[in-house]
Order: sequence, then C-alpha cells, then structure tokens
Amino acid sequence: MRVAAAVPDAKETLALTGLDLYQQGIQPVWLEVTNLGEQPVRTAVRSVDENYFSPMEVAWKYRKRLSEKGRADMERWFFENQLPRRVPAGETRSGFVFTHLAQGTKGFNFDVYSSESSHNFTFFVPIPGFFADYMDVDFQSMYEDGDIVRVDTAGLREALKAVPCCSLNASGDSLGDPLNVVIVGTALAVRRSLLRAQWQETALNAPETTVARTHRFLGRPPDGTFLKSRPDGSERKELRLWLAPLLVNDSRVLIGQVSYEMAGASGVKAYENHRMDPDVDNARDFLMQNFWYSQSLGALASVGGVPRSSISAPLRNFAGAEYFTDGQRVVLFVSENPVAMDQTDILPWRAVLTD
Amino acid sequence: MIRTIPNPLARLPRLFPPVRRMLLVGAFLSLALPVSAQQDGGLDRGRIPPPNERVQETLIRDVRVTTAVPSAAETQAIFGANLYASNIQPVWIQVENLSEENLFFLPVGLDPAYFTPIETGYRRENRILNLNSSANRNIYDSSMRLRVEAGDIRSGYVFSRVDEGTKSFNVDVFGDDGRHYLMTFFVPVPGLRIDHYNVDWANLYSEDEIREVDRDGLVDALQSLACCTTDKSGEDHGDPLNIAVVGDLKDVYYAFMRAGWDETETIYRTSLLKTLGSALTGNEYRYSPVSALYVFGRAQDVALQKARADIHQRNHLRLWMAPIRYQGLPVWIGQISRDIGVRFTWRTITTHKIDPDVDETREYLVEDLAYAQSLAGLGYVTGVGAAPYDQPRGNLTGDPYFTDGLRVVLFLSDEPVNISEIQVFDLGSRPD
Repeated sequence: MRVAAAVPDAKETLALTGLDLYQQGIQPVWLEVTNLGEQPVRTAVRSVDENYFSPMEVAWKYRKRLSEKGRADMERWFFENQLPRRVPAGETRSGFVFTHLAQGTKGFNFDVYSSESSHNFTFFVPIPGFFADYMDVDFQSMYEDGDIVRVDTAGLREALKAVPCCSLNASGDSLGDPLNVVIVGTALAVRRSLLRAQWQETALNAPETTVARTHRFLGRPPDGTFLKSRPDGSERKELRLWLAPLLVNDSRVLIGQVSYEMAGASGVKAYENHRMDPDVDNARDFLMQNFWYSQSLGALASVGGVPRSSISAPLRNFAGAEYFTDGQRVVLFVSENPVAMDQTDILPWRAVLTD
Repeated sequence: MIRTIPNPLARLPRLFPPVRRMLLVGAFLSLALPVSAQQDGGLDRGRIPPPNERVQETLIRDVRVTTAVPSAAETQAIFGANLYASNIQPVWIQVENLSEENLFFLPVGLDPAYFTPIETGYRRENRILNLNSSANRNIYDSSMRLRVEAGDIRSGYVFSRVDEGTKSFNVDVFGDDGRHYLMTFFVPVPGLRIDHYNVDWANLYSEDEIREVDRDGLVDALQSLACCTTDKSGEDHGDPLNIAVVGDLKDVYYAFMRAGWDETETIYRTSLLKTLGSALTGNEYRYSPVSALYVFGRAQDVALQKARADIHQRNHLRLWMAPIRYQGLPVWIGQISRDIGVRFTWRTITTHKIDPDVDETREYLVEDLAYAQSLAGLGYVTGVGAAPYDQPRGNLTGDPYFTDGLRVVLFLSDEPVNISEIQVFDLGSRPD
C-alpha cells in the first residue's frame, strides 16, 4: 500500500476550486492510494477527520450567488474529486477529503482497510506560516549518546523513581505542577496517539502556553505543549511533555504533566490567567481513557513519585495554584497500530490509580 | 550509539538534574499528610447513596452495575445548585465487583466530555469555588472514582452533559486481565420530555412471522425489502433504506452510543441555538421528535442523531426491526441522512437539506461504527435501486438524492473490534 498526501494552502485552494474554503474553516487534504496488494481495499475517510465535511456539504455552503449551471458544475466538481472509498487491487485512486481547518502543521491519520487487515498512515504536512513549539526543539542532539540510559520495561519502573515530583520555576528553587504522566513509545506512536486522541499542537511562544512555559523540567520549558478544548465551553486540558534521556527498548520516554485549565477572567486574554483544576488526578485519568478509547494504548501502568496530598490540605505550585493528588503517575505505552480496548495490557507494577 | 548498561540505577542520579531542597520538602509533606482521600473530610467517598428509587441494575457475570439519574429538582436538592442549567446532569453509578480482579470504571464511555467535579462547581458559579467550601466538597466528595478493587463496592456521581427525556448511556468496566463488561442503561428522568420510543419489542411480531435465515437467506430477505421509507399512507416514497444492521437491541444502542449517537438533543445545544436568534428552529430542536417515516406500516422503532461541529450539521438515522433473524439475532433495516444545512421550503417552515450523496453518508456510518470498535463485519446487498447522479430521485420533503442502489449490512459486535479485525463479506454486491 502506498499513500501520498498533500495539503493545499489557502491560496492554492482558491486557485484549485475558485472558492475560499479556508475562510469557511474547510481545509482540503489530497490523498492518493496505490493498492499494491491483491485485495480491494477501503479508505476510511473518517480517519482523517472524524467530523469531515462531505463533498456536497461543501458545495452547499457556496450555493448562493451562482447560476443554476454554475452551481451544478460546482457540485459535480466536488462529487467527482472526492477521495473514493474503494481502491481495487493493483490500482491507484486519488481525491480530496474536506477537513476542518487546523492552524499549524496539518497532522492526520489515514487508515486503509480490507477484510481483517488494515494499514495505518500518519502525515504531518507543514503549512506555511505556522511554527509549532516542538519544531524549535532539536530532539536529535538534545542528549549526548552517553547520557541516554537504555532500559527494559522493568528497568523503566526503577528509572522513573528518580524522576522528581514536579516541574520547577525558572530560577529552579520552587516546585511547579506534579509530573503525573509518562508516555512511552516511538516518535511515530506518540504523534499518532496524540492525533487519534485529538490533541492540538501549539505555536511556538503562543499566548495560550504562557503559563506552561513557566514550568521547567530538565532545565527547560516543555518540549511540546498540547491542548484539547471542550466542544461546548471554555475549559480545556493541557498536556506538557519533555523528552527524557531514557530509552525503553527502542521507544522514547516522555515525561509530562496534564491538567484541566479553566479560564480566569473572561476576555481575549482569558487563558493567560487561567486556573488549574486542583484535582489533577482527574486530568490524568482522563488522558488514560482518552488514549485507551482511541485505540492507542498497548499497555498501562502506574507508579508513585509525587507526594500524596488531599483536598483538605492541598499543595501549591510556585504560582500559588492549589492541587492535590494520590501521588500516582500514569505510564502510557502507546502503540503505532490500533489496539482494541480489551487488548491493552495492565501492568501489575502496583495497584493502578488506586483511588 | 546508545550504550546498554547493566545497572541503569547506577546512573540515575545523573539522569535528572538535582532539585535541591524541593524533594525534601515533598518528602516532608508526604509524611505530614498521610491522610488518604477516602478518609478525608469524614465522608466515605466511595459509598454514595442513590439519589432516588428509580435505580436500574445490570449484572454481567460477576460485576453488578446499578445506576440512577436525579432529575433537575433532585439535583438541586442534593447539590444545592441547578446543575442542569449549566448543562450538567449527574449520573449515579454503583459498581459491585464480585470478581477476583481489580476493575476500572471508565466514565469516558458514559460521556466522552464528562465534567470533573471541580469543573462542575466552576461551571455552576462561573468562577472557581474555594476548594474546601461546602459547595465544592459536596460535589467532589460524591464523585465516582475509577478504581473498584476485587470484592469492593464503589458508588458516586459522574457529571455528564444533559440529555432530555430518557438518559441513555453506556457503562464500561474493564478488568486488569482484559475482561470487560459493557452495559447500556436507559433511565427516564421525570420533569423532562420523554421521547424514548416505547416499542413493545416482545409483541412486535408473532413467532410465526419471524423467519430465521442463513447467510443466503439473509441476502435474499434484505434484497426483497422495500427500497424506501414511505409516508403514513404508504404511498409516497421517502428516503432510501440503505442500511441493515444485525445485532441485539442492546448491541445496537451500545454501538451507536459509543459512536456518539444520541436519542435526544441536549439542552445546552438548544439554548445555544436559541441565543443564535432562531426561536422557531430552537423550538423545533428542543421539542419536536424526529419526524416519522414508515416501514412495515409503522414509524421507526429507533431514531438516533449525531451532532457534528455545527449546530445545523447533524446526521439522523432511523431503524426498524425486520421480521428476520440471523444467527439468532434481530435484523434491522434503516435509513441514514446527513443534514448539510437548513432551507426554507414553500411551506415556510425550516427543513433540513440532506446530502444528496446518500452513499457517502452510508459509508460514513460504516467508519463511524468501525472507530467505535463495534463493527464485526460488513457487506453489501441490493434493494434500494440505483439512481444515477444525473437522474436523482426525491424523498418526501423534496430533497433529491442519488445512489448506487446498495444497502450496507452491518454486523455488530458486543466485543471491542479494532479496524484490523473487521471482516468484509462478499454478499453478492459491492460498490464501485
């Protein structure tokens, strides 16, 4: 199976369709599938964007101010240029999927499946004019070879004991939020799972990540901060990740913190003074489920490492924000390929998330 | 080149930079605060009594789940706040673990965008409540936690988004050994409109009306069903019957709910719509049930809808139980359509413009169920009758549609199935 992808930017889309689709929040993704196998395959359009626009739905948005013929021609163009659902053996098919506009890198999964088999592809197509925070990080030369410790899964459990409880402030003398997440996986698996679970990347030095960037671990702000907003409100979840100098077999280890953030004062800068939901375990438990339900979780474990605290006597981070936690960190072993929920291994490291 | 070293612990002090006194502070705090969350505040957090007597119970093997949903008034009494007005509906859950494995209760299965307890307080007041105020503690202390140890009983509330009428939801419980207990509940909530379809399933067909068929018989039976829905008189043809589903009623509900399909609207979406200035449309969304279409001389047995990003964008589907059984399971015939906008008809009422490419909508459903891990297999039969792009047919509201004339047959699974495991059957037809 071979898949090629391209994402036209706003100008190219205008040139291609004569319509300003970006203005309507629609971003076309062009895909070409070459079926080198012996079975016909099906393309899963929904894997690209679970709320994708159907071709005729896009046409409907532009129906006004067109002659009857103009409208009919436009409808036909969208109909004929959609990505076909079926690719016969030995053939190539191509077309567009109409997705929701993403600011920044257009990252998407694309699944092709046939009877009892599937192929899963992930694409990251940079869009001019956007630079994500993690793109500014040189992951390759971040650590000297000699600084990287290679462990097996059991060794990871021991190694995580050395991870400090929390991030630090810039001067390194006051504790920040608890480091309550460990993600283990190849770079591809991590990116795929974040996409499947619908986390959005953030731009370098974006105002939304002002607070995130005050948190330091390993002497630096997060290598990547990802957001997941509520569909029906202003609250959002925030995931900050740092690459650790650890390798588990060939998988990377990311250490991070996840929390719910609630807007402070209303207004355009609401997120610059947002507040963390003190019940940080709830965000951690959500993240675990989020990955589990999106078929990304090969295995799951939990380790201690954060001081236990209670709602009656919460701890405070360096900015004075309260939090309390049962002290557990969730360890998510993410998979490149989809994992059905009942196939996820729950590692008996200790009682997982006991409360 | 990465070196493998025999004892990684020997290097650990260098792995992460020293944090000076902070770890000591942390250690001190953890010693100073040995109080666990359960004991905290004098409440037994894991044991919360049900809000009312309308409890429903399901036992699967050695796990018993009991649920109840407080009405708006009951919620006010329990939490001292009108949470429904903030689009929050508490659902009481009790998990009794009679097994020897520890279990996870996963609230994402109940509502993928459930509220945290503190977010619930925040929504209610539009500000963050003092952590230990009684209002906040009342919500937090009564929230349901994920973990239920072997032999234990845990109960508490999940704060979900509001459903009108019947609250329908899934409860997913997973064991450490991969065993799973997937359940669906329908709990009527008084004080809100009940629009659950009260179908008398047991008496829908007499025993001698129902045919048990094999694979070939299933294909024949499905191909000979009517092409389309009709109006009440049975005369005018409506939307094409382009989906067939094989599965128990509970599997049907479980699968569609898992994929995000609802029986009803939420108050939140309705009120949002109202604020957008269309009282007419708002009323329609909130109070009108989905319009009736007819097959087998009766209106749909099940009507579901799924909202997409935009309020006007939603998918509708209707199912009718057919007098056919395959491998002991009911066979359903149905119709799915995608609203792509609102238009004004000559009757001057708003109607939803449906996507004329009904095959696209049909394929969307296949994928939707696949990603909900609910699809064991699929295949295609004829029966709708082709209507080419240039010669579309019309439904009852005058919406044109074109189709390859195929009906997709969806075999549901009551076990999670990932996309690599779905079987594609050759039932004699397939789309181009």
